[in-house]
Amino acid sequence: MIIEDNFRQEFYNKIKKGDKSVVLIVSVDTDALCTTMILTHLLRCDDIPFSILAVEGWSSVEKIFADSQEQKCHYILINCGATRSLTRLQIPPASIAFVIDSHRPFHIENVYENGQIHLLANPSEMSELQIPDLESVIREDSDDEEDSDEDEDQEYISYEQRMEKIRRKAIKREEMQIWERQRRTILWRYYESTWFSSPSCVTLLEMAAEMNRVSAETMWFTAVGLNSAMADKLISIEMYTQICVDRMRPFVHRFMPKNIVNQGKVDDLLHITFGRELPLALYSHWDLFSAMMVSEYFSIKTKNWTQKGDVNIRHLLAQLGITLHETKQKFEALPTEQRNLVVDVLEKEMDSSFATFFGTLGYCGKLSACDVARAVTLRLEMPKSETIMNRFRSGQSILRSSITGERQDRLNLNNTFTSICQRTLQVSWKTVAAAINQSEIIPNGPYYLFSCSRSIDEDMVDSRHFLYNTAGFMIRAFASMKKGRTTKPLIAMFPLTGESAGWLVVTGVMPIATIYEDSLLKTCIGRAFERVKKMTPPLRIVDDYFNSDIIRLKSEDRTRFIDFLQTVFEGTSN
Amino acid sequence: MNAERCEFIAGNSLIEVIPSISDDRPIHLISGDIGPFEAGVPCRIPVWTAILMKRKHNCKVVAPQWMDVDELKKILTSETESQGLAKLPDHFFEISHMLVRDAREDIFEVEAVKSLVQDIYDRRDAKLRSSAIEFLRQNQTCHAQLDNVQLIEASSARATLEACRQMGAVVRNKHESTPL
Amino acid sequence: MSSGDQNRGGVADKALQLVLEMKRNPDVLPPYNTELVRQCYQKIDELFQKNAAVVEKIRAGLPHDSTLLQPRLAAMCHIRRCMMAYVNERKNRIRSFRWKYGGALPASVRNALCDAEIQFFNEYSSTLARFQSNLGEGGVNLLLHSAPPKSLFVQVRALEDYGEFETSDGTQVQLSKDSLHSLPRQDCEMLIRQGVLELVH
Repeated sequence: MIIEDNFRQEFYNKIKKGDKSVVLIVSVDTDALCTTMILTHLLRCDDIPFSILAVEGWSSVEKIFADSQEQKCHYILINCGATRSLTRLQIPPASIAFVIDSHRPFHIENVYENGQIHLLANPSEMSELQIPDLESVIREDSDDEEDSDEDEDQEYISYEQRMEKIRRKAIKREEMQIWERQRRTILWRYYESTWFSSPSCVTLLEMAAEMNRVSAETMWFTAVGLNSAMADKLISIEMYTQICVDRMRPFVHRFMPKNIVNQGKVDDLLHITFGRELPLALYSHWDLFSAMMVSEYFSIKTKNWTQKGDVNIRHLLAQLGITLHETKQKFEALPTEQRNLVVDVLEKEMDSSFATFFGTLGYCGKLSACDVARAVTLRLEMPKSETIMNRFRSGQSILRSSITGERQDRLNLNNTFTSICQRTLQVSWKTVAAAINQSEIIPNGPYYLFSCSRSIDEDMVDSRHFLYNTAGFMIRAFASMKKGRTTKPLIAMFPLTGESAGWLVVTGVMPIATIYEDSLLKTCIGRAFERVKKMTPPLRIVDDYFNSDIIRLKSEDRTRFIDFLQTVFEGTSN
Repeated sequence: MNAERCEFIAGNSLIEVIPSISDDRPIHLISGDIGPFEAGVPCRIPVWTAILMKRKHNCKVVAPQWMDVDELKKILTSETESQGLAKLPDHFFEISHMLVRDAREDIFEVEAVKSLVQDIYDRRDAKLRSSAIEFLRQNQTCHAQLDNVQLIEASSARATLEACRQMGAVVRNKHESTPL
Repeated sequence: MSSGDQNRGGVADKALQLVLEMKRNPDVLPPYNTELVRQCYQKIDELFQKNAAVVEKIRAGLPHDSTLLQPRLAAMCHIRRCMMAYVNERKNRIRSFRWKYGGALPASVRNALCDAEIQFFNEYSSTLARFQSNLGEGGVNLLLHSAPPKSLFVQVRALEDYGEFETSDGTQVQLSKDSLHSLPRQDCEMLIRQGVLELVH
């Protein structure tokens, strides 16, 4: 069932009762990590013991359930569990599950069929969810059986009565068939697209505020989780801005420096400000030239993967009045005045209204939540050779190190920025550049297909951040090269190496035209993949990820997959 | 006795807090009763309770009187001017450490407080060190008197002096067991 | 000690070996080396007999060579000192086992002890138990409070698949490898000591 409001009563106080042990099942993504940090803070304040298990796919969740069938637990699933039926995953009968997941849509069985499962949702999104009524999707079957039993008992019934009964049964059967057809249509429409709602960390921040347990750290965690949802392209900038304005505003005022006792003098407390920022990833820890080169906006504007790219860049910089020398220097090395000037010019050029949260602590410089979000995400998602829990703990320590104010921690953070984040951005750009220059993006009927021929760093290619960002960048870059490329989706395939050699990881993005239509970034790619999986003869597909639009495909089945997908896309009116 | 245990003992001293929750029932501890609490009404509780409540967002800590920039400056001056050690409030260093670590929002000008306490510690530490060297240098007599030493300073000095004593024993042993 | 002539060897070599055995194994208790101890006894006996023979000769007024009397005595003291060091070190370690493992020693450790040592362990355990039960009402388990407590709960990570674990308030916790938990400090202390759990931030 769905819990729409009063989370404190319906969710937290039930856990607080202490009659069952508390187990957090956490997906390995930044929003889930931030939500966990806030939730565990609350649990520790109330002296409630808990356990944390990190998971990366549905099979891990199933295994956890399988290992604890006799136990009575309160399972709290964070950013997993909403989109597939938990009943079918064999949730232990004596346990209760609370699902705080930003994946949508909810699986119908989780909503209606099982009293053990409680889904937390925001009241503002209820209309968007368009959950079908109970009667249209779940049917009580018991009536039919009763009728047939009655028949057998009574031997002595008249001919007319018997005919009447048969007629009634026929009508009922027909009604059932109509109802079934309607149900199929309703569910078809309901499950058509997948999208993300507001990040779970914001929900938990509001619940913590109700309990008067919000500190600057809590707010910082929420800021990072929120920014990660935007950096991973899960929510649109409009939705992000709306959440910042509507839901984060009261907190922003609380933790700004001027409201604190010490009147703005430099102190060791964490202060959070909300301000405008260039939507240029990591530029303040890099040099402008490199940051601009890998950014979607500037890369597409100057088409810097083509031979004319260099010339275009020089033109653009000249236009903006920025010297090449300025851009090639480390940004921190520029004098403050110059920095502000350049940022102003670039902001006007990019014409964005992006604003984010900055954390300051003592004498350490301002840190943007967006950059920290990227660092945490990448640390959580790579290297895949590390165990899930190790990555979870590393992500935790990076998140914490952004607010300790200790020099060593700040150095580690900067190290992560340079070694992992910048590298990922560069690899992403290189992939897109190669794809376009070597014409690797082929139109294949109703969609564009990109088959990556070279192998990319094994750790990187399996990460959601890399896949979503690269695919989105690619389709935009591709569309910028020629007119008329905005109406078809792009499917991208990358070969895996090492242990998973022989498999491809496949993902896709919706056509550009649709992206501008709704601010929820709804995608049907996941559904398309599901339908391909059901076709015969069955392909070897592993769809274990919580995001249905990322799957693994056996390389040998590639050609058939491409054909099946074509059929699926042609079948539905896009 | 080490710094951790000194802090543990210091936790028993009382401090004033302003609770933000209310509870009618008093809590019965081995050392006495605490509470009942009424939101907004100041009361005195042990420091360890105050820290636990602070972590759960249940109270606001009122810094002790001596934890004020001017008071600390006075202490620092008297420490500089006198030859021996000045008299400090009980568990001065432990309580400052605990409050700065866990209740920093409630201390006014926490940075200045931190640096002043550090200065006081350094001055005293220098005096203790020179006093220890004098003590070990003694040949005929072997006693010293030093007033106003804090528990935490004594416990760290004890470790050093104990080590010196053991070294002396080893050296004597060596002389005694030289081969014939 | 000059080891110019390998064949001769030093008179206290075996005793030195005993001490070295303990020094080279700081983490694991090697089995009680009955053989080496016996050899040391023998050595002391040997030296004593030789000295006694010389003393006899002195008493009888016969020609004698008393140059080796003192060195032999010194050697006997040295060997005895080494043996005492050996026994003392083992005793210290056995005592620490009571604090590490509680009252029941694992089989691997038990096999390394000689009978006298096992008896020592048992007596020490019961003395400790008597002492603990005398404190307060119902006794105190000192093992659970080895460091001043800072908070009621600690954050721990399970280092192995331990399985089910019940805390003092009845909740069942499943400890699987690498899982993170927040548990009452008292319940964790034994497991932390045994290396099943590890404290984390």
